[in-house]
Amino acid sequence: MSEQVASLAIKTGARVRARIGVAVARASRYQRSLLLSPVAVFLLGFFLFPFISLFRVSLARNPGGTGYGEGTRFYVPGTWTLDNYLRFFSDPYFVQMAAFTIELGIIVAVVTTVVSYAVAYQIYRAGALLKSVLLLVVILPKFTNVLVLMYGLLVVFGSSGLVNKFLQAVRLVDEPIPMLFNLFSVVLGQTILVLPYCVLVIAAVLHAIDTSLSEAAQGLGASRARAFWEVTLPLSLPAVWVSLLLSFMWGMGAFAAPYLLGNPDLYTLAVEVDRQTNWRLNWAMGATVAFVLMGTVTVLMLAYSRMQREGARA
Amino acid sequence: MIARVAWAAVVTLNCLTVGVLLVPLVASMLVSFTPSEFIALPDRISFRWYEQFFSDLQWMDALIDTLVIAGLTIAISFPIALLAAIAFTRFYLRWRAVVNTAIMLPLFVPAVILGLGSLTFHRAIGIWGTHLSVAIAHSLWALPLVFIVLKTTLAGVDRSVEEAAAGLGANPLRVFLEVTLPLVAAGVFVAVLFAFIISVNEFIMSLFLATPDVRTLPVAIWPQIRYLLTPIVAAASSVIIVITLVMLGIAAKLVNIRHLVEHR
Repeated sequence: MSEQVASLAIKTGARVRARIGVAVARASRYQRSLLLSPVAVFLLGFFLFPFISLFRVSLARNPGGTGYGEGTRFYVPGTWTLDNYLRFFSDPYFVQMAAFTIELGIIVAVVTTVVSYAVAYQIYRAGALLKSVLLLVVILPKFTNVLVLMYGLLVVFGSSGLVNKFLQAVRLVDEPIPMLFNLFSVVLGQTILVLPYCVLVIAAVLHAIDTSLSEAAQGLGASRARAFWEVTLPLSLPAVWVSLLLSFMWGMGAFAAPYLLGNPDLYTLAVEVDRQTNWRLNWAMGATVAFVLMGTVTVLMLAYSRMQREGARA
Repeated sequence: MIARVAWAAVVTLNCLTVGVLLVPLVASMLVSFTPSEFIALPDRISFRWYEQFFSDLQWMDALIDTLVIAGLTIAISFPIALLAAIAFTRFYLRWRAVVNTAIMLPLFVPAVILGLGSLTFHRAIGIWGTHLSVAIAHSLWALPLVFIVLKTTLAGVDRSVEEAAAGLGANPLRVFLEVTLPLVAAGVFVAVLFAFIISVNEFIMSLFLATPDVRTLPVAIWPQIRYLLTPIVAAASSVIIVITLVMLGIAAKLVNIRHLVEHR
């Protein structure tokens, strides 16, 4: 009886609150727009406009020549041409680079998600202290500089790095093992950069799963492995999809890892944007490469979320 | 049995992961104390690379630029995010999801695109080459994070306390300054720290927007790390790590880190 009264009271309270809310909303429409206008102005002014500006530059004629110094033009203002895009798609150099960028995105997505799930699952199962420690370790790289991490990897894994010196000192190998400047090191570097987000996403979803479900499965005779496989894992799948998506997106945007830990065969579109813009001083081509990268990321993401939605329906 | 083997595999993998995450940071800190010309673990502690770092005007300029830009990033992103967070938690918004997505969107755009886009646009409107230009770009990433933190903290405030203050005759501004703000002080502090840390560590957009006069520490490290791997990079890195760790330590004192994943 008292429960019914309580629930009635809560419902009435909610209704009153909702009505107050609507009244407040009407009275404060102008306050609301006042509160939101700074963010709108900022996003329009410094997010949307740069985007438009970038697109415009990608349609300008490139300056030709690579003269440094005064009078250098990075693109020819006022010109309209599709040449940069045509050049991009007709030059195997760019096309192969685009293909590799997608490939890297896929590899990073799979590796990062598998590793992140393992870490997130241990965080989920851990006691309070270990949980805090693991979380701190995981998010620490996100709060340190990309370059610091890459430098650390060079120091540790380089041919005169700490690992190789140790291996040589204990006479395990004579020649240093080349661990850097290959696909392995690029994936390793990029995974470290993307991992924190994925662990947080998966851990958050795991923590939202009612532990009694897995316990119930085990109570009904399922082994722990089976309880995980048939209860916990399926319930956490949405987080896995998000993790794949995030790490794919950020894997495709890889910049520092391929630049510092890779070789020219492992350069991505993002690296090429820098090389065109800051080395060749050809902003028009840089902008074109940037736009192709943006377009590829967007198209693949839309395709992915569509696939996933259809998969969920089936 | 399967569960035990699988669990052992998971724990082993995680130990490796933790190692790969921590060892580079620790190693570069250790290397910064080396007396040697080359990258090597120190056989005795030497501060020669720190002396060189702090006596070199170029590095000092970069350090000052970094801190100025971080300050500006806070000054830009915090007020904007605060107002938006108030709108989100205290008012009914019809376009809530759309506005939310718009605020979060820059986080998902590759940094080279934001960097080059900002470069072309900032050059067109004539702010290129200023500290402000770099700070605006950093705010694109700082703003969404500051916004999430502030939104979460403001949503956690008991509305009846605010209503009580308003009922006793305080105007909305006074309610906010004297009731709400003290209640969310920790969250505000964390939000400011986020903006600071993002800005100090951001590298790609800075690389595009940097000029010889305005150069952040990461941008100054970049050519060094690519061409000459001297331990001074380790010293410069360690300065950044220490700044970040101190900030993170203060933040960890203020908020329980487990709330990142646990739902209350």
